[in-house]
Amino acid sequence: MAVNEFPLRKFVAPEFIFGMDARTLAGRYAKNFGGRKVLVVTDPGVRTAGWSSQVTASLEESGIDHVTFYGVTSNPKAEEVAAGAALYRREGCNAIVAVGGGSPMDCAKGIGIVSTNHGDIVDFEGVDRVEQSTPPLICIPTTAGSAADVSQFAIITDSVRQTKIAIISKMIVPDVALIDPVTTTSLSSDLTAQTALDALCHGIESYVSTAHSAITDLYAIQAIRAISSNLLPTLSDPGNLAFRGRLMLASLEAGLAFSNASLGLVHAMAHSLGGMNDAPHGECNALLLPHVIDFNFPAVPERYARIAEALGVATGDMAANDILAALHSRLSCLLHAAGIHRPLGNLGISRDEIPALAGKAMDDPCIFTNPRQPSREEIEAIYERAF
Amino acid sequence: MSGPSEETRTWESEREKIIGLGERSLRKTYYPELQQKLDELERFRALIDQSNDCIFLLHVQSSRFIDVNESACRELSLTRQELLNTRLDQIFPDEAVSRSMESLANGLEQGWERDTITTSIRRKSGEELPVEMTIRVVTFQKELYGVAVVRDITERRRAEKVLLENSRMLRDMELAKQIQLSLLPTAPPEIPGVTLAGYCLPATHVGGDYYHFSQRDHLVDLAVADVSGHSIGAALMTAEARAVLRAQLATGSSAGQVLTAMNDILNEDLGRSELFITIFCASFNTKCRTLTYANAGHSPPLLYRQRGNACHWLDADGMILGIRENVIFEERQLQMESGDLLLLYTDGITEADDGSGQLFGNERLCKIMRSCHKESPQTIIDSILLKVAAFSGTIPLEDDVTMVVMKVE
Repeated sequence: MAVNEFPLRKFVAPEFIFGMDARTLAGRYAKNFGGRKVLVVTDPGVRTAGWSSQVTASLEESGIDHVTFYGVTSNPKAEEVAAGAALYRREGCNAIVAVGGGSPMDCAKGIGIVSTNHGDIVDFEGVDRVEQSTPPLICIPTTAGSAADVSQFAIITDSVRQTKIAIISKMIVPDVALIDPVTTTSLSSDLTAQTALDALCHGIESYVSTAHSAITDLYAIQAIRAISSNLLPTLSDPGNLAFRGRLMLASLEAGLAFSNASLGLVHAMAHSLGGMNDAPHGECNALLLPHVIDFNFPAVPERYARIAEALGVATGDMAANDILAALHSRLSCLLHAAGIHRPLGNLGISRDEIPALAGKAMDDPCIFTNPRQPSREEIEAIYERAF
Repeated sequence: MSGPSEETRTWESEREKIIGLGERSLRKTYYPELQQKLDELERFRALIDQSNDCIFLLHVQSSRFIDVNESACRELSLTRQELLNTRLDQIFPDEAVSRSMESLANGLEQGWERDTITTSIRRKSGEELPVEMTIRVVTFQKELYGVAVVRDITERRRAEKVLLENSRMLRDMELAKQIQLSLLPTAPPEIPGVTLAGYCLPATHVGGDYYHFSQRDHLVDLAVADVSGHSIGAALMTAEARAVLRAQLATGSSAGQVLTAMNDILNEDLGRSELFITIFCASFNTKCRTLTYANAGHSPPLLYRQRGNACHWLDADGMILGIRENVIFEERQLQMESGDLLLLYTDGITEADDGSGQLFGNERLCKIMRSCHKESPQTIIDSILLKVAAFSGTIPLEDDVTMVVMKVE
């Protein structure tokens, strides 16, 4: 008798340290990993906030040489990876510390891949394409959202093809994540909202993913619950470290869930959008989420019911359609209250681009674990509704 | 019902990989790479250990050995661990240590790349080994290291010494040759009634051949001698024999008396040096054209008589010099006529071989005499040399070659 309850599942997570001032352990870890010269990958915003200099100070305390690469923009580009890898080689580095949000962390993963596997980062697009182990990578996230610090994903923009490529490999799971809520206190409310909603999408998409498991479900539901109850309080009291910490923890949980269960149509469509117009990733996700739920709901209504409950909807003995309506409305309220309410059209996208966007979304690996397999026309229809 | 579409199958396989069930789904691990590097290191180690040179890696600041190869351990008769615990000055002489450390300390700043020192290393037993040491400075992880490649130059030294000795010897031998040649008569004396020519060529630098001609009133003294071997010893003995010969001739002794006296005087020296001399000695009276001769075991000289156009071999009883004392040498006398030729020679002529074991021999010599008897003695000598060289095919000849030709006018 086949036992469908236990399909094969793998769970991979890096060592992570969560808590106040975890960032100060960078030097110790770099030293323990055999680091001699560290490439610090960060971006100008993080530098201005002062987090990268605190990390380099920690490296110096441990007697470790370092050189910093600042040339990362949001939605990091393949050429930024190449420039970082060139600096890594030129300076004779042997370890990488990423300080920042998803962009510096994904860029750092790319630099690691190119420095040991050579070639162009776009050559590694897809699943399990990274052959050689990358240098030790320490991630210090400064946003509560991307969870790139615990994930097997790196999303890099190929500016030539104007598309985001996903690199999915257990090889690029960082060696340690130093997750320090303090670093999120410098986030603007826009970024706080965008990144938290990205984490919310991670939770929701991994929960309904066809690759979900009992373990990822635990993290996903907990993340949804925590973001639902802490996002608005954080936005109204940005300096509150308790709220910040809870969002950071939720981001970690969502990350552990999606890194192993993967994502779905929201991320596939959002990557397509971000590749074409460099729009903020979290915002793209948030704007697409309700429409994708409308499409996916019939495939896994019970799972969406659990999500609705985690978001605070008392589903009781509601009919499936009512649950969908309640979920939809709850999400709209949350997005609106968080300040995410522009239609897609305002992100600089024109309707003419929809067929091309849909085409790229069809090729994105995130789509493979979506609970419902969409046709191209169905994806186009979802983009239409989001406009 | 049809099976799943291709798109669905792609979805399925991609989903499996994302879950982590793909063949290549692997967490980061450095172990395979480490294993590969270790294998490489092991191969490299074998390479270093198999080198004939001793290789030392020295940590400059502590002046301790960090690594050494097997050759170093072998040359110094120490185990690896013993060698790693050995101080620099326990192996190298003080001046080599101070020069190396100075080079290493200043090397990098001065753009110096390597230094080569000829020094020695001390084995555990105290034995010193001459070596050439090349030191390079290298930096690993900000630490200065010296790589010293030490080569045993015992063999090279030995070869150099041998080469030097050989060249010295060669120079000495050349000098000896010049001296020996100067002991020969410079030019034949001008004597009414006879024409003379002489020739002597040692096969190596110095030889054991000697010839002599001189004049006493109306007597022409002739001699040709061959000391066994071509060694320096033979050359020295030749010189001694020459002196005795000249002294005896000066006393007015006859050929037989001269040989008897020479044997008595030289016997002891010859015995001690295990050498022998064959010598033919003759006096020609230009007035009455009589030739008086005696022979101590030398190749019988050739007498060519124009009358009859025939060769005769002049033999007389006598033992070679250096066998025993108190030897009496038979003395013979014959009458020569105008146009007759006397050829004294050493066995370098008649025993020249053509490579197949055939010797030049008396007959060929006689044939030359018969065809060339009208020529001057010098021309006759030249003809003989040409024929002998053509016969043996080797120039220079393998044995000393000496000839004296006297023609009666």
